[in-house]
Amino acid sequence: MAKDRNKPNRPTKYKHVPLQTESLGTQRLQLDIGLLFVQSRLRTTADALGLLIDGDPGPDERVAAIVRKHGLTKAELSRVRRSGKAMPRIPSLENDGYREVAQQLEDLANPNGSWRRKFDTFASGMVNEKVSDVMKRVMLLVNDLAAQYDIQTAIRAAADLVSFFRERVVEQGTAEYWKPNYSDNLMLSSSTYQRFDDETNQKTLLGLRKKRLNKEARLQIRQQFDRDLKYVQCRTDQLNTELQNRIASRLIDVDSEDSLPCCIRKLERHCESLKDLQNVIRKEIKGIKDSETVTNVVHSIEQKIGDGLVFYDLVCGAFSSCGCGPIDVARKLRGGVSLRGTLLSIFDLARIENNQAKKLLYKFASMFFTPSIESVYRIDLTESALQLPLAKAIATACEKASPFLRFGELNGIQTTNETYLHSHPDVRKLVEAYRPGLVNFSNPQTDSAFHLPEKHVLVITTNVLGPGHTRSEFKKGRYARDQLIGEGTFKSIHPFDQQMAQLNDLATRPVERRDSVQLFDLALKYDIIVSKTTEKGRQTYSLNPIDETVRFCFETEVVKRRVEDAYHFSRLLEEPWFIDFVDANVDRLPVDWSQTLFEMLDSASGDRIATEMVSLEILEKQQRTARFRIRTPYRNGSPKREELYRFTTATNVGLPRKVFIDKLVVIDELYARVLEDVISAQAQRRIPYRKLTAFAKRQVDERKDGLEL
Amino acid sequence: MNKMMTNSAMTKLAMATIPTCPLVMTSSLLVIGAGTFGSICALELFDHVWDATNGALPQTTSWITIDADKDSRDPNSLAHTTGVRFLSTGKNGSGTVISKGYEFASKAFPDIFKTVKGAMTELAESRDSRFPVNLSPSENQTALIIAGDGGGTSGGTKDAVVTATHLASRHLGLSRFDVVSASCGSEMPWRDKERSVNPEVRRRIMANCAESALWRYNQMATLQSIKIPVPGANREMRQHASTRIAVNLEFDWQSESSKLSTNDQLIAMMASCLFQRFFTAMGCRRESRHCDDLHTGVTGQKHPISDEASVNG
Repeated sequence: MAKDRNKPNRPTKYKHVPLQTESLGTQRLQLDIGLLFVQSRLRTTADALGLLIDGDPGPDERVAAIVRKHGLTKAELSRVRRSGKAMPRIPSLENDGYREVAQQLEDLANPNGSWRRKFDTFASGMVNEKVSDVMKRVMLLVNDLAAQYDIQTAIRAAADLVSFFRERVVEQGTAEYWKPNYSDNLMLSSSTYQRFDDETNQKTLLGLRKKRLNKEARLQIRQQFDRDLKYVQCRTDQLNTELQNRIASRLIDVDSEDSLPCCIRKLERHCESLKDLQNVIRKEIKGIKDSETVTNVVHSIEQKIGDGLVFYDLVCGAFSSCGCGPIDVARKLRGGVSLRGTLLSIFDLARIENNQAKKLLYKFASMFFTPSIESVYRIDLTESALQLPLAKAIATACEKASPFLRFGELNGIQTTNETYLHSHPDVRKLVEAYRPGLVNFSNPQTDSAFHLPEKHVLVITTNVLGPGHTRSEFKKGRYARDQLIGEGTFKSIHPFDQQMAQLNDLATRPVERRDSVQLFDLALKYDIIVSKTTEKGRQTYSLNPIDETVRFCFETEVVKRRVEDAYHFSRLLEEPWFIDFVDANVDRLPVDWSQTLFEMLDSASGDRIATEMVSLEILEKQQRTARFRIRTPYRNGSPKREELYRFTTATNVGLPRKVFIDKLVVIDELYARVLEDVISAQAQRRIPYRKLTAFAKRQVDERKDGLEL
Repeated sequence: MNKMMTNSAMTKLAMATIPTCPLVMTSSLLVIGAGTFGSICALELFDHVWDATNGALPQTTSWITIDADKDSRDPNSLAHTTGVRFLSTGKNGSGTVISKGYEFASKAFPDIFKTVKGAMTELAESRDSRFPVNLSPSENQTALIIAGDGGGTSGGTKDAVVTATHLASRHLGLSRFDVVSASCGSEMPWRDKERSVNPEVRRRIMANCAESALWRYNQMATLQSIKIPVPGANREMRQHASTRIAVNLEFDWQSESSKLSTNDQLIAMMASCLFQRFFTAMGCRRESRHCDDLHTGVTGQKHPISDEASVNG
C-alpha cells in the first residue's frame, strides 16, 4: 500500500462524447468574460464582440486570412508564365526547314535579336496590365484591412508585400539562365543546319537527283536539335524571369505612382492627417477656469470650431491626397474613429455649421451604425478637464445627429432615432442640465459602470465537470446527499432511475493496475458490478445499470467518415485548419494546391472544385450516391475535427473479467463511474470504510472534509 | 439598488468597467426568479433594465418571481409592483428541505403553469420597435430561470418551472424555445459573512445543491429522451433530455483573483452579468453566433486559454 502511495496519480482523460446540445451549437467551455474583455478592450466593438464569441485567434492570423483572400501570392505571378505572347517562338524541325531553324537559332544566340524586340514590345503592355491588376487588388486589400483593423495594419501588410517582391527581385537575377557559351553553341548548331540546307539546295540547283541524307545523319541532326531546344528553353526561362522581375520591380518602384511604396506613402499621409486632426480637436477642448461661467466656455468653443471652415478643410484635406469622395471620406473616417479610440467622431462633425459640413454629416450618418457609436463612447469621460466641453458636444451632437442615427442595423430592418449613451455620472449631470430629455442613458444614474465578473461564470454542457472550485463543491455536495439518503432524511425529487449520463468529476486516478483489480473485486462483492453467465457458459461482468456515460465502454466503437455534398467541402477551403489537415494527411500534393483551389472559389462551382479535389486525392466520390468524403481513412490519423467524422456504435453488453479490468485501467469514465458508485455506497453505509481501496479512502476523506458536524 | 462596494473583491470587479454596448435584445425574454435568492436576483436585473431604459421597459420582456409566503418586491417601488408578477408557493417556506419545496411547488403547479403560459402568450403578441428581436416572439422565446440550488423552495421549484415553461411552449407552438438556467454555487450561504448557518443545515444545503445540479448536468449530457413527471398531475412528459436546458450558467462565489463575501455582492455580480448577456449588443452577438452554429452544425467555439475541455485542474 505504501508503494502505491509513492506512485503519483495520473490526470484523468475523459473521452468527449458529442452531445445533442452541441450539435445545436451550444458552448461547451467556460467563458472567462473578464479576461476576454481586457483583451478586447483596445479593439473596435465588432472585433471585441467577435473576440468574446470566438476567443482570440490572433490578429496576425486574421490579417493573413484577408491577405490570402485577395490572392496576392506566388501563384499570382506564375500566371504570367502561361501567357506566351512575349516569348520567342520555339522552332520545330518538322514544320520549319533547316534554314529557318538555323536563322531562328542564330537570332536567339544574338542578345539583341528580333526576339528581344518582340519581347520588349509585348512585355511593357503585359507588365502595365499586370501591375495595374495587382495594384487594384492591393488597394482592395488595404481598404479591407483599414476598415476591419486600422491603418497601421494596412501599412504593415503593404510593407510585407514590398519585402516579398523585393526578395523575388534579388533572388532571381536573370544572369544564371543564360551563359555566354550557350550563344556559341547555338551559333555552331545554326551553321550546321545552314550547311545541311546549303548542300540540299546546291544539288537541286544543278538539276541532279539529290542523294537523301541517310538515316544515321538524320538521327544525329535530331539529337543535335533536341540539345538546342534546351538552350531555347533557357532563353524562355530567362525572359519569364525578366518579366516577373519587371512586374515585381514596378510594384516596389519608389517613384512610380502605381506602386506599393506609393500606396504606403498615401496611407502614412492619411494617418498623419488624422493625427493632426486629432491634435486640433484636442486643443479645442480645454479645462474650465473657476472664473468662467459655463455659458462662456461653451460659447468660446462654439466660436472656435463652429465656424466650421477650418475643420472642414482639415477633414477634406486629410483625404484629398487619397482622392476620395465624400462617401469614401465618411467610410475612412469610420476607420479612423476605430483607430485606437481616436477622438474624431460624428459629434465633432455635427458641430460644423456650414452646408458642406451638413452634407458630409449626412453621408456619414447614412452609413453610421452601432459599433461606431461604441467607439465614440470610448472617450475617457473621467478626465475632469474634458467633462464639460464633451458634455456640451455630446448634447449638441445628439440633437443634430439623432435624425441620422440608424440603430438596429445588426438586426436588419427596424430603425429608431433614439440615442443611448453610457456615461460617467458627472458628465451625465452636465449633459442633462444642458439639454434635458434629449439623451437616453444606458447606465444607472448612480452607477459609474457595469461590472463584469472575472471567472465566476461557468457554462457546462458536457459530461465532464470543469476544473476548480465548482468541482470540489459538487463532490462534497454529492457525498452529503448520499449520506443523508443513507440516514433516511433526504428524499430525491428527480427521476434519476432512467438511463442518463453521469458527470465525471475525478481529476486524477491511480496509475497502478493493482488498484483497479482491488476496485473490481470490491465492487463485485457489493453488487455494484454484476456478473452474468452467457449461453455459452462464459462469465461476463457489467455495471448495474449502465448509464449513458459508460455505455460506450461496453460498445464497439466505429468511426465513419462524413459524407457530404460538394459544396460542403468547397467551403471548408476557407477554413485554415482544413488546409493543415489535408497537408498532414495527403501525400504528393502540389505546393500551391490550396491557393489554386482557393482562387477557384469565386468562379467555379462546388462540384468542379470537389472534382479537382478528387483528382488531387483529397476527396473521393461515392459511386452510388455521387456524394463526397475525405479520402484519408480514419486509421491513418486520428480525426482532427469531429466534423469530418461521424461516430456510430453497435452494442456489446457484458465483458469478461480480464477485459473489464483492462478497461478499468485504461478508460477513465468507467473507473470514475465504478469508484463513484463505491463511494456513494460507502456514504449510504452499505460498504464499511475499512474495506475501501486506498485511493477511495482518500477521496472519501476529501469529501467528508468540511461536512463533519 | 446599487450595492456598496466596500470589499476589495468588489472593487476589483468594478475595475473591470466597460464602455457599455448599446442596448439590444435578440429574443423575447421571460425572466423567472424562483426562491428567495432567485427572486432578489431577478429583481436586481429588473432594476438594471429599468434604469437603463429610463423606466420604459422593453415590451418583449416579462418578469415573474416565485417564492413562499413573502413578497420580495419592494412595496414602495411602483416599478416592482407594476412590472413584476409575484407567485406564492404557500404560506410557509420549505425550510431548506428540497422534497418539501417540491411538494409545495407541485401544489402550486397549476398556478405556476397558468401564470407562465399567460406571460408567454402576452410575449408572443408583443412588439417593441426599440428592441427588435431576431425571430418573431410567436416563434421564438427564451426563458431565463434564476434560482439558487441550495434552498428548499428554489431547488424544489426550479425543475417544476422548467417543466411549466416547456409545457407552455408546446401549448403556444413555439418553433424554438430555449431555457437558460442561472444558479449560484452551494457554498454562498455559509460564506456569507452576514449570515450564520449551522452545520446540519449546511450539509442539507449541499445535498440539495447536489440533487439539483446532478439532475441538470445529467440531463444536459444525456443524448436520448427521458420521462419527466408533471408535478401535481398524474402524468409524464417526454422530452429530449439535452434540449431541456439550453444553457446552464453557474455563478460561483469565488474565482482565482477575487472572493465575494456577501450574498448581495453575488447578486449584484450575477445581475450585471445577466444584463450584459441579455440586454446588450455583447449578448446579441453571442446569440447570433449561436444561430450561425444552428445552421452550420459546427460545434462549440474554442476558448483562447484552454484548448479543450481539460479536467486536469
